[in-house]
Amino acid sequence: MKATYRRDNSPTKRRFFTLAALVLVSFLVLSAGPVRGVLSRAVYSTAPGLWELGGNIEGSWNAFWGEFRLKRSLVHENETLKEEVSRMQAQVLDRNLLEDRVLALEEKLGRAGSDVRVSANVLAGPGRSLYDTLIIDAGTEQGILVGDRVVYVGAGVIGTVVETYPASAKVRLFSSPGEETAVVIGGQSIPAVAHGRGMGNFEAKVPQGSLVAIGDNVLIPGGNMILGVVGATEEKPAEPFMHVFFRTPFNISAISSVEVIKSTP
Amino acid sequence: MTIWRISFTVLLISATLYAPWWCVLGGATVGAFLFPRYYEVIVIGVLSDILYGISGGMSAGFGAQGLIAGVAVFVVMERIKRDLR
Repeated sequence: MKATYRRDNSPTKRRFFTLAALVLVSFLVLSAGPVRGVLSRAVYSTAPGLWELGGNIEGSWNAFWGEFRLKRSLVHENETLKEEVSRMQAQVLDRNLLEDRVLALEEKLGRAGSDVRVSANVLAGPGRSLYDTLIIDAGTEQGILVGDRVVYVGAGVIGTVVETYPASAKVRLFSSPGEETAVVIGGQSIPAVAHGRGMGNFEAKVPQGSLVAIGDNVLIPGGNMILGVVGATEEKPAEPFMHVFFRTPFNISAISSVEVIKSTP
Repeated sequence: MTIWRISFTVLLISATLYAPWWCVLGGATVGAFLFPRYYEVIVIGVLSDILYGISGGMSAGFGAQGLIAGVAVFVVMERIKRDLR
């Protein structure tokens, strides 16, 4: 009689239970606020330093290889950049004149106010993960609080601070998937709700027939801050509304410094 | 083999800090294929969630997108390795 042996499944079961236990513990760690907070503080006590070290190494590497670039290409690039800088200086001059006039008008109307801003470098941009967040190198030591707005080049608002640490902070971008922001679109200030689509892209719905055109500005109400510029519109006769697609007027994955508007305590 | 596993894990943690997410995903997939029972991929997913994640609803992956991706990579690669034996 041939003997048969039942296959030993204990290693497979052991692996399954190990995996299940690891997943359960990880999920509890991420979902339990206090535990996640403690772990976040522990990680953020070292991560900003590592990011800065990485930035320094990258800068040194670029400087090293820059020595080997052809002189002619560097001269051409220098001339192109000088031309771009002078053009942008002219634009900024015009903008500064407009800003002075707006401030003077607001003062006459009794609405004069000023905000306190903190400059911060971006340690990690939105391309590092699927979360559409920024990590900046300013935190509670610089007076930054949860809920503070973050802007780029003065008037382009990009997000709000959601987590703060002593020397760093995490910023959730308005374009994060699932994020909803009240906006006004175009010269007629049509109110709408912008839904984030990730990496600086948004979608909003306005009533059918609204006067929205490509190139219209999209602003945050009450602050005259630019959220984006309309890139495309889509109308379907069967629907009562029109889809408006807009995005930030700059490459959000390439920004290297931002300003945080400190909220008054 | 252990020293290779540790070195690869350190490299993957560095990629989590400095590289785009798709680099980390690709590296995690390679690691889960090369090494037996590469549970480190789940830990790296949790690290990514703590570094960059925010608590949120379904659209934000409940703040656990890295964990979910890590578990998916682990399970799929273990299944592929078993079928290839």
